[in-house]
Amino acid sequence: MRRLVGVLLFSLAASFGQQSTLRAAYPAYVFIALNTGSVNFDFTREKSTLTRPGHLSRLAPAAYPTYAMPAASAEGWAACLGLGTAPSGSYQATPRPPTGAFPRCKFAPSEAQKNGAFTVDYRKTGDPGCDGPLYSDGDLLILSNTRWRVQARIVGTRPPDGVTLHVLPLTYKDPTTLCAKKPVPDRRVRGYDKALRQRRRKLSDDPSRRRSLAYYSQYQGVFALPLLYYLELDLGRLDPGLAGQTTTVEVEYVVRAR
Amino acid sequence: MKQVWLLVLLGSLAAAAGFGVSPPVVEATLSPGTWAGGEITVQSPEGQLRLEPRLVDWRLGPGGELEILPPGSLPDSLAPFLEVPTEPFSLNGERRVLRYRLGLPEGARGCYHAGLLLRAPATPSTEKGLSVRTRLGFLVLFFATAKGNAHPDLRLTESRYQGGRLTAWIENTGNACLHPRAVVEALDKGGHVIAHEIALEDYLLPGGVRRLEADFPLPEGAVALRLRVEAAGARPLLWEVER
Repeated sequence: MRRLVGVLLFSLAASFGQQSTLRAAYPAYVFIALNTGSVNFDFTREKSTLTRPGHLSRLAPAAYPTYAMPAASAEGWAACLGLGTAPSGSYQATPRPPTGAFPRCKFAPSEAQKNGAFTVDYRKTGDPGCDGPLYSDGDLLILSNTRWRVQARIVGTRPPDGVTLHVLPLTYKDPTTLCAKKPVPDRRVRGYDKALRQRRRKLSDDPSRRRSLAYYSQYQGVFALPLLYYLELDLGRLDPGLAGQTTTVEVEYVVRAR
Repeated sequence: MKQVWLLVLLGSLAAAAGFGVSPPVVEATLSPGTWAGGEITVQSPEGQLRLEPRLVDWRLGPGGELEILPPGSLPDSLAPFLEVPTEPFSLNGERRVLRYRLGLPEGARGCYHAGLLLRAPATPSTEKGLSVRTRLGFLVLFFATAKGNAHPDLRLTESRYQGGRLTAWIENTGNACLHPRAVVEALDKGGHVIAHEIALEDYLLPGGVRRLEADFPLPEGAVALRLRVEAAGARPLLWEVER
């Protein structure tokens, strides 16, 4: 029997000092919790064995019955990955004030946090490496315990005349490095350098296909372990002529096992 | 149980749209003229999500590119013998079980394949001021192999090693759907493997060819490079070149 994978999504209307009960989607041996809020949590599950938050590549069980689970802005929005006996029942997450305890990032509580409302607030202060959003619109998150391949295609509106559309749809980011002082090149991330392979076709260099809708990019996850992959949609290499124009690009991801 | 979860991030994780599918691949071995059934579980972690299931044919290009075709387009399409729900449905944080039936016609030989494409509606967002509509799809792969008359066979049609880069072409010359695994190995004087890398692990349909490329400079102490391709039931392929 292979391990089951479950996803526990934190989307809490949490307030400080108040306990919230989270339920796993279904019993699972492995789970990943995503803290989508801007509030840090102390995460507890009775009799659990969990790996340390953010250490997605370390699957060796270790006992962390309680650990601090950072807000989404911390380095572990894929905050925890655990192995253990089949967990069932409820999970407790206690919001705690953002104290800046996480090693590299300091957090400034937003007004919403102060007021106890749930928001998604990715702005951080005090560390250039932590500035800016962790992800942008249209990015793809894949959690899988089987090998997979994703293909991204531009299927929608063509760019305006005279504008070349360069698309690098997917870039892998290791969530554990998102708050590093300096950006860590993906290839230097131990254990992840071979986690994702990509094939790109730069059709934009081929005038006859420049405006083809068949542009695609392929990426694959090579591990059969339950791992989380974060793929970034990057339309950043647009011709400057496209900026400010009301153009819609439709991107289609199709994921399959391999 | 194999599973895949997908989330498209739409400005925030809270607004993410996604779903999980289990199992992502269905493989059956059947006697011609018989049918079997099973279930696929689809689950949305939270929020409402509408999914459109579609029965499709599919094939892979030499680089593993997925091409989705109308059902029944391919001669070895399983689509005529695959019954899956194709009515759109909505999920609201719960599980949905999709029951399927698949069979093989009398006289079936080898492997038949098709897919169930689960597509979420395109969702609008913005990226650097550009309006982007993102659509998420997952293709559940279905394979049905005729019991007793599948002949797995692989062939290495071309291979070269130049400047630390291995290029090879693998062809599925049998009638079975294969899942070859190609490993590049560096050998020392004693013939021991001192380094290796998986160069390919993917499906290869009957008649299909696959280009294999691997950057694999021989490490110190290596005197030869070996390519080993294995797939269940097929004769392993070996190709070796000396430094």
